[in-house]
Amino acid sequence: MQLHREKDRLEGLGIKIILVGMGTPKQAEAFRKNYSPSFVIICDPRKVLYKAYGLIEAGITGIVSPKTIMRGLGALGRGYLPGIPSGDIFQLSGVFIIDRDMVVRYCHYARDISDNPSIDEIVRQASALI
Amino acid sequence: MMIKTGDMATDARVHLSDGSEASLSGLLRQGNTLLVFLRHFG
Repeated sequence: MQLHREKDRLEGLGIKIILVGMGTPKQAEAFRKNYSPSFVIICDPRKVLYKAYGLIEAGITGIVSPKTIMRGLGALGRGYLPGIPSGDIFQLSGVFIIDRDMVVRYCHYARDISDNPSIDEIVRQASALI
Repeated sequence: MMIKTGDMATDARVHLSDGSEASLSGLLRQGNTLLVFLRHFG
C-alpha cells in the first residue's frame, strides 16, 4: 500500500492519517517531509503499540513464499519499490479505521508481508463513517 | 490480543516523529482516523 499516493482521497473524506513505524524519529521525519507533511507519525521501536493492537510477527513463510514473491513481483511491475524494513523484519502490518469516539470500525491484520488491504477497500470503509 | 470491529481502540502514550509525546486517545478524538502500522517507512 503506497498510502502517500492516495492520501488526498482519504483526507477528502475527513480522515486523519496516523502512521506507526518501528524506525527512528529521524527516519520518520524524513519520510513525512518527503511524502506527506500532513501525516502524523508515531515512532514505536520497542513495538509497544504493535503489541497493544495485537499485531503479530510472521514466520519464515510469512516473509518468503510463492504468494509473497508473486505479489512482490506484481507490485514491482506496477512501479512500487519494496521498502527496507526498519526494526523487526518479522513484524507484520495492520490497518485500523477508528472513529472519533474511539470505536474501531474496521481492522485488517496482515497474514504475511504481502497482505495489505487495497486503497479502494480502505476508502470504501472510511466512506461509511460519513 | 487482537482488536475486533466494534471494540474500543486501545490507548497509550506515544512518541511522535517530531520528538513530542502524546496520548493516542487525544490524537484519535480529533476526528475519524486511519491508523496504519507499517513494516517500514517508504
